[in-house]
Amino acid sequence: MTNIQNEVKDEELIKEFQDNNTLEAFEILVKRYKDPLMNFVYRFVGDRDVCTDIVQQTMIKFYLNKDSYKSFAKFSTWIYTIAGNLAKNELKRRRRRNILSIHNNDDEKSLQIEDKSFLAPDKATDGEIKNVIIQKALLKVKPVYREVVILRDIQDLSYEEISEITGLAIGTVKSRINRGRAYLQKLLKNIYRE
Amino acid sequence: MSKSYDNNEQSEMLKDLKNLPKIKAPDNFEYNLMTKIQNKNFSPSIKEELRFNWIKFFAPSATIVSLVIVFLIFFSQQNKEIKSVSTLANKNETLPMVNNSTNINKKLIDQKITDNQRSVKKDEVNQKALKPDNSSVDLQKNDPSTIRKPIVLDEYISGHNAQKDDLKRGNIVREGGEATNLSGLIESQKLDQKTLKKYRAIVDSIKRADSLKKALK
Repeated sequence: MTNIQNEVKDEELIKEFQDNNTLEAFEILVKRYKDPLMNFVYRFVGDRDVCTDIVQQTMIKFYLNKDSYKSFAKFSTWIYTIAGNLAKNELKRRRRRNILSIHNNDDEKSLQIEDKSFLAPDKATDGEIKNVIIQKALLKVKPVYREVVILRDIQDLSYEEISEITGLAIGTVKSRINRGRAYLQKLLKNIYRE
Repeated sequence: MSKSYDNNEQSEMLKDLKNLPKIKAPDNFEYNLMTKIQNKNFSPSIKEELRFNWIKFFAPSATIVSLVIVFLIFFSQQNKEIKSVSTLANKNETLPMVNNSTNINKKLIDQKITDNQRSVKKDEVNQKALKPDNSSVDLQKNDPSTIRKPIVLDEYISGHNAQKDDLKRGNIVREGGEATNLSGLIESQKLDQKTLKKYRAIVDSIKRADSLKKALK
């Protein structure tokens, strides 16, 4: 049964769900994409609870707007686009809240402190701490660059797929990835010393 | 040579990015999702949105209130300064303000003066007599105690106040009840009978003199 599930393509499953409203097809797609989307949204937003909510919302949107998917596009890019848009909206909402708030809960400031004073270089190479630092550095990168870097370097998607998800030209995607990486490396210069 | 986007300098970082632990959905993710769909509970969780933060609410309002207070304090101080300046200015203007009560009298005086001037045109002899007294009016203008006296005296002397209103008539009764000895600037003197007879005798003797008769012939 699981082999059959794995063999069926995403596009076939969504077609089945669109045509016959088969809930099983929907569930298979949810199982396939819940973890990749969780990983993508978590790296983009940096909050696990919010990330779970966003992915749930993504799946609900997929369920409610199944007919808006067109067969010529890849299902993966379509669902990533929905998740990406919801994640961006969440960031905008946070920014608005931070502007109105007295207490700025910006992660970026705490990241600066950890980078320069709290962590010695030998400790920074430690796997777990390193991952935390990388995640915080990622959150410091501008969202336009962050999104493409995550999709390319963490989610391992092709430039074409990223271009489809973001709606940008491939050249723009490449330049944004390059800028994002350069900025990230600048932030992580204490870890990646020559 | 085409530019490599996955350049070697960043290779270590890119490797770490790829090896970042994969975040997995919670175990009850599908169950929760299907429950939401079955219950048609499609609204996003808005717990955080609904939480009312008093600090966030009072922060802008407190700022506005403090601004208003500062504004009021500043303006009250300014008003005090303006008031102090205005009181100083008022002090400077007190003399004319005090004399306000006499302004009516001044108007009357001016009117009287103009009346006098008209009468002067008619009677040149009286004009000569009045002119020095008018100068005395000018001198005593600022003294309220003496302001009426000379004017009424002038009118009394000139005789132009005979048919004036009650106010002026009162003045005549009060001020001009007695006949003065003044005739212009020369004070007239009453002569006794003896001196009169003496002067008359002198005049008669002159009339009888021969030399005078010859001269007249």
